[in-house]
This record gives sequence, structure tokens and C-alpha cells, in this order.
Amino acid sequence: MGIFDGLLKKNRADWCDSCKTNMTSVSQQLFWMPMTVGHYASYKKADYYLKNLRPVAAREQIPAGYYACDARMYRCPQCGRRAAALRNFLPVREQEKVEETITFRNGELDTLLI
Amino acid sequence: MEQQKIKKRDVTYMLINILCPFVIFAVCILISALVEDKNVVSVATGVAMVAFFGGIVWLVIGTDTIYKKQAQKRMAELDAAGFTRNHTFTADGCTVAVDVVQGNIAMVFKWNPFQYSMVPASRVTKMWVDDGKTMGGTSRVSFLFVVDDVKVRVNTFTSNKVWSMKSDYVLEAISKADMMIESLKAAYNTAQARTQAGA
Repeated sequence: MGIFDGLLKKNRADWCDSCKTNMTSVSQQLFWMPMTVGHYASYKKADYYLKNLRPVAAREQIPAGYYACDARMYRCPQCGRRAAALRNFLPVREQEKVEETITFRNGELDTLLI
Repeated sequence: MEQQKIKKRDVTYMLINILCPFVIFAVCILISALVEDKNVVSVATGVAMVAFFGGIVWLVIGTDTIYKKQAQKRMAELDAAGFTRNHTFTADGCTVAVDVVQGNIAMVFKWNPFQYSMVPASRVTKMWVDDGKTMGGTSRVSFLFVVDDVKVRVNTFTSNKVWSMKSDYVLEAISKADMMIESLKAAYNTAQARTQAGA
């Protein structure tokens, strides 16, 4: 693994920094966020997501003008460490306006995504 | 709550704002042409210039400031009258508030800012989103509705450039317009249900 490759992978949610290996995706869930278009606020703490995210079965269930969160849980096949990646986006018809992706590596969202 | 007819323009208010500075300008130019006294001519010319440029500035900034301040006041009046503002959208020419609970719509227009128009949403005959899509993209996104045969257009995005349909600004504007139309539809359904229950 080259230096640049390592630097690029360091911030990826699906990369185990201690084992230097790719994590596998174990679960994925789409959530509805109680935040309307034009009022997006970035939250870096897991508490907000644990309290406010509401699971939905499909994208069509998210009301127009509301933000969505695509959450993925990753697990390292070697050390078993888990990491959650939240991609917050605004669904607009068939397209998406991605706001940010937040990664939690210390098990903060283990109760949200089983 | 009192329900009014839709009045997009107050003609007196419009004429005062548009014509007054230019009438002053024209009178001053006339005075400077007719009077021979140099002092009067210089004063009249000065006033004419102020009226001309002041009139343009007033049309661009002044009327907009009045509209925004008055729209806030009208919204406060609606709140006091028991109107539940589930969604409020303020655009450059019109402010729309939707009460999904009671099925009412309230509007404040730029050229009639001293009164609000409130109607039951069941009087809306058509509502849609216009994304302004052309070959290269769009320069305007808006939501429109027809109430009492009056078409109301509320812009959620305007630009003097053409933007890609995938740009963040356009996507956000389409989302806002979609949200307002969904809200209007919900208010319409409430109003229809109330009408049927009352009949």
C-alpha cells in the first residue's frame, strides 16, 4: 500500500485503520431526518441521530422537502471493529443533493444499526 | 377569521411608488425650462436629479424593504388570528403561508403589502411546479397555483444565468417548490373534507 493510497483510505468508513484492510458492509438502512430544505444543520454528535432518525422502508416515504440519511454499518473481518457511515442528503425527485458524510468509529451508533 | 378575495395589486400604492418620483422629476424639469431665475433653475435641476435616481433606487430597494417588513407584520396578524402556519414561503413578489390544519392559504403580495388575502384551499383549482427546464438548464424554478381564477407564481429560484438542472441551487429550489405543493395539496384535502362535513 502506497503512502497516498493509505492517506486516501484513512478517512474512509469502510477501511480498518488498525488492520489495514477493507471492512465489509453488514447492514444498511434509510432514515428520514426531521429537517426541511434550506434549514440543514450539521450535527457531529451521535446523540442527535439516535434521537431524531426515523427508519423508512423506501425513499418514496420521505416527504418532499425533508432530508434523508443513508446509514451503513461496516465490520472489520479481522478484528471485528464496527464503523457507521451516515450520508445526509436531500432527495429531490430522482436526484440527490448530498450534504455530508459522517463516520462514527467508536460504536456510537451500534444501537441504531444492528 | 375573515377571508378575503385575492388582490395582487393595490393600484394606488403602485402608482405612488412608480409615478411619484418621475412626476417630481418632470415638474422640476418643466420649472427649470420655464423659469429664468438661475437659482430656481439650479435648485429644480438638483431636485429633478435626486427624484430620478432616488426613484430608481426606491423601486429597487425601497419597495422591497416595505414588502418584507409588511409581510412579517401580516404574518404576525395571521398568527394572532389563529392561523397555523405549517409552511411559510417568502419569495421576491409574494409570501405564501399554508395552514394544513384548517385548510387555508394566506398570501401577501409585494404590490399590495398592507393587507393579506386568505382563502380556503378548496378554492384552488390548479397547482403545479414549474422547473423552467430548457435545453441548457434553468434560470427560474417556481410553484404556481390558481385560486379564484387568479394565477399566483412564487419563485423559489431566479438567476440571470442558466444553471444545470443538477446544480445544488436548482435541486434545493425544486425541493422547496415540491414541498410547498405537497403542503398546498394537504390543505386542499383538509378544506374539501371540512366542506363535505359541513354540507
